Amino acid sequence: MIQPSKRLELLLLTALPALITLALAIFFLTSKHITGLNHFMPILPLIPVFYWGMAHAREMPYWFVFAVGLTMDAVMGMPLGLSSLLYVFFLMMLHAQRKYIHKEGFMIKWGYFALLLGVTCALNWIMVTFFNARTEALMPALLQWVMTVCCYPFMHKGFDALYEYISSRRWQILHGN
Amino acid sequence: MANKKIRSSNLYLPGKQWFYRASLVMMLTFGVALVVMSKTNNPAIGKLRTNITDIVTPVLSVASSPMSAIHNFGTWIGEMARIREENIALKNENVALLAWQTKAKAMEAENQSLRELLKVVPTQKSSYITVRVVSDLGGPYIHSALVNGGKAAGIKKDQAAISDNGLLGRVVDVGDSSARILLLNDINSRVPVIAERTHEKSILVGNNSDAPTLSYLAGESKIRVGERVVTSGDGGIFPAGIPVGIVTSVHKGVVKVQPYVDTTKVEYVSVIDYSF
Repeated sequence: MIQPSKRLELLLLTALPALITLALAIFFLTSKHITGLNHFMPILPLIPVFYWGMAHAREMPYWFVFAVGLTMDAVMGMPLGLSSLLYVFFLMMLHAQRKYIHKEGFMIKWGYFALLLGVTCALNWIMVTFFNARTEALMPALLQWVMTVCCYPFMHKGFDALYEYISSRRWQILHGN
Repeated sequence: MANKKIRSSNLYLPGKQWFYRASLVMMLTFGVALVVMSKTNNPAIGKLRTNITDIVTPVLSVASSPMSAIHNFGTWIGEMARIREENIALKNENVALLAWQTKAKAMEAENQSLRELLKVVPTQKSSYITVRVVSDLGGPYIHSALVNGGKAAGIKKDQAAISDNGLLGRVVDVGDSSARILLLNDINSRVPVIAERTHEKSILVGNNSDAPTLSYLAGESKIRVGERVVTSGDGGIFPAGIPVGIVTSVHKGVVKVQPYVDTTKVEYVSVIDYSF
């Protein structure tokens, strides 16, 4: 029988990846007062979506990713539902190849992240171009892709440490010390 | 067979497969429906958007405080470093301004007496609502800002938003406690303006770059680089005379304007309550 406090801790550990994604989404949306950064700000929320979608798929559900996308669209003034669709698509593509990449090393995962993100950014560009009925500039999308891919290794290492902690702590709670 | 099924799904138990697939299909359908409704400017989408921003704005307001504090601290350090030079410059500027003040007072008195003589109908006085910018100023494809005041603060759609340097944009969405300001450089922005020297009227059109352009200018335009552009007041949305920007290039009929407001430095904006 697990104590209520331990049960709560388990719940928090399960929700931690989603909370991190939410925190990064809020950081992405807040004003940073840096000239030009908003043109190519890395899409930080997609990094935990990729990491936890790969490492522990149940902790990054589709409905949550959809809701994050919807909130980001509402705040940024983008067509509502566009990011939601793209993020769900991103997660679907990730799950489609998960069994092949899950046990691979960091470089393969990073490469797959870059590829998936590239497809997502390209789709975003195509959909915005269609939506505005005007060819949008490609350079900001390209810069955003490069910036996000460059941020991935740092966050991956941090999430590796967090994943270790969550796994060991969960084991301790469920099976005792 | 059952084991094979579990292995192939990898993520969810077979008993939950139907629910998982059905919810995914529903989500995708809902997403597509939202995008289509956004494209057709469905009022329900506008309502949904303002409801979401009303919920998120207080969170963003709190979350943006540390970034603002860091920005203000950086500005303060910069100001401290050049305080002596700035003091000398301000003293010189003060002498010049005092001379201007004397002239301005004389002109104000003259203006007032001329108005009384001609029985000029007084123009509508504007009031201001000051709000704080809480969101980032859009992304690669859109340039807008979310502020922490809405209908409750008296903000209405299409009101002009200014910062201390000039026009920032106009209000396009209003919620109960939040509003969205479309910036001058957004592709959907159109502002009626007038060149201060030549008095040529045109429309400032955003193009998602840092320099919006002037449209609907006369064929033989006399606008030159360095000319100030202000709002014309046409259409009755913006009051006339708000500084907008300065002409930075005139090339093959394309006139580019650099807005006075540096959007990355804007923290507070004033929304003008003005009716024509």
